[in-house]
Amino acid sequence: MKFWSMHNKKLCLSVFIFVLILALAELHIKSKPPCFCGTKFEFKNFFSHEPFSRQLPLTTQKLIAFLNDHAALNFSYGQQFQNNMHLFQRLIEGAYPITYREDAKYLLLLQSEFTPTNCKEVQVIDEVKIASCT
Amino acid sequence: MPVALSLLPIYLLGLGSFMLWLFPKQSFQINCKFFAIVLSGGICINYFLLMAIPSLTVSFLVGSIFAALGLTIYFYKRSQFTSFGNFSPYVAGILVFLLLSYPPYILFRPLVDHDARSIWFMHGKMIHHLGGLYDHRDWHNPAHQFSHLDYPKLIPSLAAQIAWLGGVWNDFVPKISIFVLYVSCILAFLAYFKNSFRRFLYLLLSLLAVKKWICNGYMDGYVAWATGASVLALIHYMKDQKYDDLILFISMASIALGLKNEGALAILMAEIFFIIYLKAKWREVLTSFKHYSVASILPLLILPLGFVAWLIKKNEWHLNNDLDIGTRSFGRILMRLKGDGPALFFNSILNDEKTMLITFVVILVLLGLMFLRGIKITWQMLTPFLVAMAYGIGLFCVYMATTWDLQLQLDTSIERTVLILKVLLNLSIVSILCSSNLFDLRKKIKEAL
Repeated sequence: MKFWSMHNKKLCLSVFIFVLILALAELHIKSKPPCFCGTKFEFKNFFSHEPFSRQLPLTTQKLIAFLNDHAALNFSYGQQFQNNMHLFQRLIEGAYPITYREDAKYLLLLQSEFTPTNCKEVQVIDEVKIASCT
Repeated sequence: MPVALSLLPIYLLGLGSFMLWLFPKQSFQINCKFFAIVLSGGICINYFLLMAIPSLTVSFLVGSIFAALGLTIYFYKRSQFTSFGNFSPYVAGILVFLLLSYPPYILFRPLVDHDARSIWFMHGKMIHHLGGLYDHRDWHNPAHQFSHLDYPKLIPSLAAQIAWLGGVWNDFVPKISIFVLYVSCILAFLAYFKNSFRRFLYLLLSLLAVKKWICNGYMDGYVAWATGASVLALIHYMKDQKYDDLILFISMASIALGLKNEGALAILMAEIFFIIYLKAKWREVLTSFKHYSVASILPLLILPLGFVAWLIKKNEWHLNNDLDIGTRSFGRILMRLKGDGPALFFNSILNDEKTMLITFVVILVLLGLMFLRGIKITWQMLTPFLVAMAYGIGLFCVYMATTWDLQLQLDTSIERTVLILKVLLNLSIVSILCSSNLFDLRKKIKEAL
């Protein structure tokens, strides 16, 4: 009774501010979904030796597998392939330490791209054709 | 492999302990603050070694010698560190909860998000495969330029070192580097916990402010945390002028500097207010420094060396930022200020960051109330708010100076760049509530009962 009979304005103000902060915290939670949704744990792969990430797009995985199978140290690509950011960036990240080199043996081109005369088409993987150049 | 990786905490704590022989001769309590100083110090010294020594193997060997020396120093000086301070079961419980809640999402979720995969861990992969940072042939490869190669290398180099230690580069092992960062930030926050509900509220608000950005491999959440933790240590230093607060401020600031360029902007602002404080309170600071030896100043200079080493290397290799910040930016800033730049910026904030704006209004109301009631507004109450405002202005200028399309830049990054602002504003609320007896609930309730 004594507590409430005080009519302590300062106390009311403090409580009001704390409630406001808690409301802010609540807003924080509701404003955007937390990170926990849609994630998959992969305990068993923690120490796995994988030649490339399984999170990469399937085409990129196949391209990296091709480069690994042919013991390629580097590769080159056509302008249209480079313009396809999704394919280009994922390949650069995923294939590393196999890197881009202008005079590389293997040239990656989109199907719509012209194959240079000094190169011979050796394999087609989805929308990408791989040419071996001399 | 797990055995090799289990050496990592001993290695980092040992490196951090190496600083102990330079500390002033006063007793230190073994509590969260002690571990936060030692771990964050270890991370900073390790970063410097990785920047200064060409090979991952040699840097680890040199680091191991320092770590062994550090552990020896700890055992030699252990009489100075016997008391177990305020490491209460309450704090321990929260620590255990925090160590069990987020880390599974940090460690066992593969790298899928763009910046994590294409920037931070791409750089880590390059350092790992090149065997160190000095072999810079791939840093100039035209195919890698999309990866923002000029970004700081604290996490990439630590990830590369961990992968080297574990003997494998995959989607999981390098992420242990993020876990190390998580632990050091949590310890730095808990260092000032002291069983207070309001401090817990700050921790909760800071956790909520960064949400997914601490477990998806991005650095934005951590740079916000490290900045928040360093400013938290700074306001405690402003209050008591204790050496351990100062060293925690410098070490967390050095971590923020090594994480992301936004960290450099925020820490620059914090340093400016620190210098203003030193100028205003130089007599008190000088008196506190009289108890320290000259050697005690050395850790303060050693900790940011990793960041300095990377700046030198970056300039040497001509790795430039795509934002092209410099004197050339003024023209772009003026042009955007005359155009719709400010409208786009504030629209973006209004649409996406309403809670941050409410926090900002709450702080203004609190400061207004204190002013009206004639309550003295101290340095530690005001500093986080001023640092936040200065960072906000800096961020506004950076957006106005961008070479990219402003709307695109805002859409893709504003949510992340304001994290520092959010954490600092949350810190402002708590520092005002903690510093002012006007809002001391416990005291009021005790009086009432």
